[in-house]
Amino acid sequence: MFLQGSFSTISAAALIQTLCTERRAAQIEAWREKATARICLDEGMVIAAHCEGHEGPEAVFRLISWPDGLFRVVRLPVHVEATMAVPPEELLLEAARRRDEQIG
Amino acid sequence: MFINWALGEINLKIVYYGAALSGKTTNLQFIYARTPANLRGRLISLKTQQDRTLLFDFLQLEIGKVANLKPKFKLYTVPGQVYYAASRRLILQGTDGVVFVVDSQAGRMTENEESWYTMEQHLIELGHDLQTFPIVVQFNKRDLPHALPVQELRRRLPIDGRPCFEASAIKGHGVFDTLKASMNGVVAAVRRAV
Repeated sequence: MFLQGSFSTISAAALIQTLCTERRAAQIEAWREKATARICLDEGMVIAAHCEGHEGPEAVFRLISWPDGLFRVVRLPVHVEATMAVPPEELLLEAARRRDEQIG
Repeated sequence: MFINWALGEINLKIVYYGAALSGKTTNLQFIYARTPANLRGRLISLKTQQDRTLLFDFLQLEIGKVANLKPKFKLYTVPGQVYYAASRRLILQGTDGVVFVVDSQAGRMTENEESWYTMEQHLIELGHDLQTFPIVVQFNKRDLPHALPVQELRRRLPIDGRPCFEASAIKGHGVFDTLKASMNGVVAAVRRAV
């Protein structure tokens, strides 16, 4: 374990972007009440995501909508299988677009 | 601005802002097409109502190092429709400069004025000083028959002393002049700050 904290200190979106910008090979493990999430990052991309029974981009959208929660960042496990390769900006902008269209 | 020590890069963000269909996306598509493939990242495109949100990054080698770091620019467009306010605010977060794209057509001034107003509001909310923040203005669609005179556009928008460029983004005219002015303004602001 090399980093841990609360989403009240840094948002999930900012955490993902920062780790991706630094091109870290890392796994974010997060939990809130009974929900858990796991986001895998490598080479500046989100390469796998699981959250509340969802996988892929939908899992990232779920996590960044959490109003609070705790997280820890660990080294990317060697056995992780990449199921996607999406830049974080693409996921965050898509999440913002969906939110605007729901409101609008 | 984001300093990436591991790669020796300084990431600088420029946002193309303006009303829907003013030509923001056309600007970025032209720049992307003419940037060497080995210097640019992947073009990300998100479909929104009426237009698209684009972004990509590229290494700018001609401008020289900034604080001994290689400058990498990230260019974004915002979705222009009124109800994408949260998206526009998110995109403007952490931006180092803005290119405001004006649609020169006579029937589009209300949209231009509203867009300018929301840009100012977002920048103020994000803590920027409008007097010093690098904003470059592009008068786009100068090739169209109903384009208003530049003096009229200047009169209707609070441009003050900001750099302005006439353009026809669809033909590529003025696109790189605008971009270079914005990059120079951003780098000058960073050099003043560090």
